[in-house]
Amino acid sequence: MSQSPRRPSTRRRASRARGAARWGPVLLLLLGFVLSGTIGAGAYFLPLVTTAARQTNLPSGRATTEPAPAPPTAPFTVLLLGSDDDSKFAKDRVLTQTMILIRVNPEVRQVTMLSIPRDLWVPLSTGGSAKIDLAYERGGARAAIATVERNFKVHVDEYAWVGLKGLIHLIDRVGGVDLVTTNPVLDDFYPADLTGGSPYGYMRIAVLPGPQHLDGTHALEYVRSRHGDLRGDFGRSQRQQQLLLAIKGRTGGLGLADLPDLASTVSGEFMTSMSLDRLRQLLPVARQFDSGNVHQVLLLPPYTSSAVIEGQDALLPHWNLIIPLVHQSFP
Amino acid sequence: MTAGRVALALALMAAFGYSVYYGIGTFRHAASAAAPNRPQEVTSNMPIVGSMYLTQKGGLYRLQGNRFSELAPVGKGWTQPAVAPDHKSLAIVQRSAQFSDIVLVDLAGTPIRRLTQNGGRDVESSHWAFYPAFSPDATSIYFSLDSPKEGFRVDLNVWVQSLSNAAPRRWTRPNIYTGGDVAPVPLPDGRLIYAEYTIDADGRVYSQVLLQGRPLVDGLALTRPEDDCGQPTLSPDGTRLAMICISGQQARLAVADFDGKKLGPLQVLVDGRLCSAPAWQPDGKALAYLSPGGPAGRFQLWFLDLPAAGSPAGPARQLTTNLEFDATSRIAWF
Repeated sequence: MSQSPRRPSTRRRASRARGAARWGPVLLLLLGFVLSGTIGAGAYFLPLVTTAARQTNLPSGRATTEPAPAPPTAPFTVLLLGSDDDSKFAKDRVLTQTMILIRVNPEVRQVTMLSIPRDLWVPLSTGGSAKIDLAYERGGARAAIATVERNFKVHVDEYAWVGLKGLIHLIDRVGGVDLVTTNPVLDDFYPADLTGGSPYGYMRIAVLPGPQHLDGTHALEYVRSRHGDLRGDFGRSQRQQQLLLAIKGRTGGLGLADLPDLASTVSGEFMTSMSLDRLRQLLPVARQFDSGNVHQVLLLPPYTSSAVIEGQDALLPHWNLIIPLVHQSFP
Repeated sequence: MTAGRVALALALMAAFGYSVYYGIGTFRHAASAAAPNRPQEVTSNMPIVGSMYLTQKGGLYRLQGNRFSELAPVGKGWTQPAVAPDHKSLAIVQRSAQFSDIVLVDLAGTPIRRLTQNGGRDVESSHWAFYPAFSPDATSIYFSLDSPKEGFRVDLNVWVQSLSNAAPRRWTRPNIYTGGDVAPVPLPDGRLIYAEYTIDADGRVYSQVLLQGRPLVDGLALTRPEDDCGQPTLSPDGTRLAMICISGQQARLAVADFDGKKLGPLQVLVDGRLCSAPAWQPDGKALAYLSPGGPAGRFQLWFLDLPAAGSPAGPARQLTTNLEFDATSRIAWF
């Protein structure tokens, strides 16, 4: 039986149908791989997006698609807070053993770091008077900022809070820090609260002096120890400022694309008021100044004096001396 | 398409997605913080004279020519090796979590004898011992020990321990709550050079190199407070002292003539960068030291020919890359 020839249009339709049948699954497969790859990349960048959304209320789509905004030129002030955040404390009810007020002036590339002694006895924004490290425990970052603003007569533009583990993870994530440890730091009563034992236990530490490379754990030992230092808390404050500069030195090469990994590294151990756009603005600023342009201020005597108040060892502020000093750098 | 093929395709897609996730993370992490090599996996860029002993993350390594040998692996707690005058053994610190001891080992790193027993049952009875140094007559070892201590005060004092097992003697009285006295350098005539830490009334911390004639007397300052010098290392002929002096967050490698009583002017050989652990070449014509050498910031081995008197120092040569030597550990070189 002879087959009647098909009309050309019918053949084309049939050919297209066969082509679609052949290529359809391939295209679908390719689409699937593209989609899964996109999801994989998205999952990697998720911490950045969620951090941005959580901390800044930014629309998540802005996280990586827009060009970085211009670096700031106006001076601004950041309150840096650090806490023991181990099992001695309920979450978000911690003391801030570290409070450093940082003034950045991008135009003249100068930075001033003022360490606020944790034992400074001041009126709290939440009412009553106590050591200033209690402000955060009473009312979180808002209360800590308000207490600093009211007492020091300054305006705080931004804040950042980091816990002990967050600091360790951050330093390890950037590969450790290089710094000059000023003297042997030996402490027989260093808190053993990060090793899984009793949060009230102690351990011995020894950080030897001189230029060296420190990982997160040993860098924390260097800046957290205070018992063996003639200057007590002031010595610790000076070492904390030193570590900040060393971290800045290691993070100067970081860019926006490093933020997801950093965000996941310090997840739950870091909080800030700074928006993602703000962080993107500040990254180039951090690269602009070197340690020679950093002015470090400690409120040693005569700015403060020791006292026992309500049975606690405290520091009395002498505001007539402190305020003029502060306003030299924090107008 | 069968259900099996669909399942296989979905599984491959999922694996691909995870690979992308993992790949980005690994690439970014590796780019920023590559782990250091172990020294025996690399050679130095230049053969050295004699034998050099260095430590990295608790491991002990020997460099001969341009090849490293591992004598004790990472994690053993070894640091601060010091070679005996007869070049047949080392005194070295073995550091544990909460105490450290001075141990005599042979040149292959095998322990011979433990000189201290600092691991106590509690905080009060545990001690740190660091910076061992043989006396030139090889009869005793000087080191820093956190004894006596009381309450919160834990400062290093220089002690001397006879190798004939006589009771150890305390040599220095540190400034309290400063961390104490470190880096002893015994002299052939029985005197001692060491570094003392001070915290002054303004809260400034500095180190000075002192010369002490007898135990427990005040030392004579060889360097000025404002120079903040430490890590004294005497040249093989005893006529020059190499030191690390601190300026802000940077260090200077300096040498000065030593006439047995005082130091001459400091000659700065390396400036404006972190550097540590100066060690004299056995013939005294060059120095090795540790300094960061790359973006990772970890301490590498560097070499510097000493300039002729009155001449500026030539460029230092970086001998290793991507290692992580312990910058608080002396280099033993003979």
